[in-house]
Amino acid sequence: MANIFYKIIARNLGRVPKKNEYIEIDTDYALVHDGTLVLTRLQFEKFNTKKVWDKDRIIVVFDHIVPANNIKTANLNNLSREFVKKHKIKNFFEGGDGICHQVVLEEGITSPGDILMGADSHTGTAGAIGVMGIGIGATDMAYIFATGKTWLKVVPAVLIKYKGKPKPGVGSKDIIFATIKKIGVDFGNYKFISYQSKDHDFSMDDRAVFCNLSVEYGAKSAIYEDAKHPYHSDSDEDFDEVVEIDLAKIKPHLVEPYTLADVKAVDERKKKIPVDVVFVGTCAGGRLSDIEEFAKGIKGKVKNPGTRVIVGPASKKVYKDAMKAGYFEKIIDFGGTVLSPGCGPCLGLHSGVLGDGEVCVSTGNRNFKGRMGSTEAKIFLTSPGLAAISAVTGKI
Amino acid sequence: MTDYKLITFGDNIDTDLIISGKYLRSSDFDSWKDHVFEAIDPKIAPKLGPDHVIVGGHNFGCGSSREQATWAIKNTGVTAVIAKSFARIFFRNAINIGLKVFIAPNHKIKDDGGKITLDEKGGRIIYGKKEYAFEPYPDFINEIIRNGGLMNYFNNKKRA
Repeated sequence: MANIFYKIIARNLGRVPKKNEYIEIDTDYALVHDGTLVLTRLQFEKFNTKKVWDKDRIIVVFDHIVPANNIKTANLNNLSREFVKKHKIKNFFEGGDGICHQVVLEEGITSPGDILMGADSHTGTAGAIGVMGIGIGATDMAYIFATGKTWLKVVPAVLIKYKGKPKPGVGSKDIIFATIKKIGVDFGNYKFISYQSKDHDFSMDDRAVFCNLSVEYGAKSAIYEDAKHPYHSDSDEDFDEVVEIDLAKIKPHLVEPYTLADVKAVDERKKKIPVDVVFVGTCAGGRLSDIEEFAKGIKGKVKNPGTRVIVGPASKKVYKDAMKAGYFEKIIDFGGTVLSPGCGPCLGLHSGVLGDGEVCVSTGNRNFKGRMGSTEAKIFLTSPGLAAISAVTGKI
Repeated sequence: MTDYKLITFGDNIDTDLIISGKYLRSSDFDSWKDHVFEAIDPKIAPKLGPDHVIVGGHNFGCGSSREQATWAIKNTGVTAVIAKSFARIFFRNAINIGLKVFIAPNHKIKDDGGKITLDEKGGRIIYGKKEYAFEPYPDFINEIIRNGGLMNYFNNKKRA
């Protein structure tokens, strides 16, 4: 009897792990993007080894600064492309293919029960398809490139058990923000988080939001459990803690600047301020259902003249599906801009960097000071529906 | 045992505050130190050096996986970072690159212009009349630390 994480580790290790022990595992897949490949490549070259451990188990996705924003980035990206070629890495996705976490969800390279180590903090998003994703840094990744191995602490596991059904107008963002408000922004530190929902079946996009935002409250890895997947937790007894949350009681929520510790119910927010930019995108809010919710929210309405609207689809597939559904036409006619698939302005380097004093409403996952540009800018994190209201009214 | 000057921070110091995204794209490992903690106060970076220890609260280094956050601190030359707790990726990155990090869960250190004494062998810090013990690490993490980081650990093991 074990929880889903300990079962996945047992498959890798050949025995059920003990809580709090340190183990060495074989990485099933390693994920890097154009940003973290720069240091990973440089660190790998310092290791006393020539070949990567398994060229077919490395996934490289260019998503952070593509197309390049300046000559320095262009040159660094080209060095990374040479590395990919030299090591014959076949799972290579160019700029415009999508955000690495969405590519993992769509491409079917990994399978439920795999351990995916990723040089990006949001690697846990893969929990939406039953993959145990864990974020690490560049030197850790270089070590995996060299050996295929990495060390893990077998941390305690917590079950977040959703009950009932959400009220109309309450989506996955509201649910995860309300969850973080209840449990605290560092609740998940050194913990595995499992999500179960018996009364309401969440879509793949919703599951991705839960697992993605779990990283923001510190989770080492998060998985949305699905009866169709080969690995499941046996019972509530297999967890160190069970948090029960009644979905029917959740109201719309948003995050005020500057951290996820600043979650508020929307109706608690009395004073409204003008919004300069509305951004719908990222690995937390750029999927088809997000773009759909935003497009429906602005339907038949006029954009506030002083507010700019930027939409960044999370992948090529999302891009094409949103185009076919007519959402982009609506957004463009409304006065918005559609970016090529990728991280967009979330990392504060291109495609809509915020200036001093600007206020942004974003469907992303981070609103740290200076995250999207100026340290004098403010970022509010919201659902796509609330972002649509801000685009029309010009207020939050 | 040596005395150090202090720079203290509160809880949840994120990696964007440690090093802004706009400085990340570089292959020069020494380029980040001049911008460390810039979003909090640009006057911090020039002060830092081997005579300093950084003291944080809970969840120090939360947010992005950017290893540049640990390089930015390490390359200022500061002797160590002490915190009540570290975010997990920052902690791994620090150990991997040979930046000394110590966990003192119950410390009540404030920035009052005073100094702290670091007793690495004894696994503690002394601050005024108070003493705080560090959480011990498992053997293999100590082994990585002894080798000065993950790279040397790997290369030394291969050579042996």
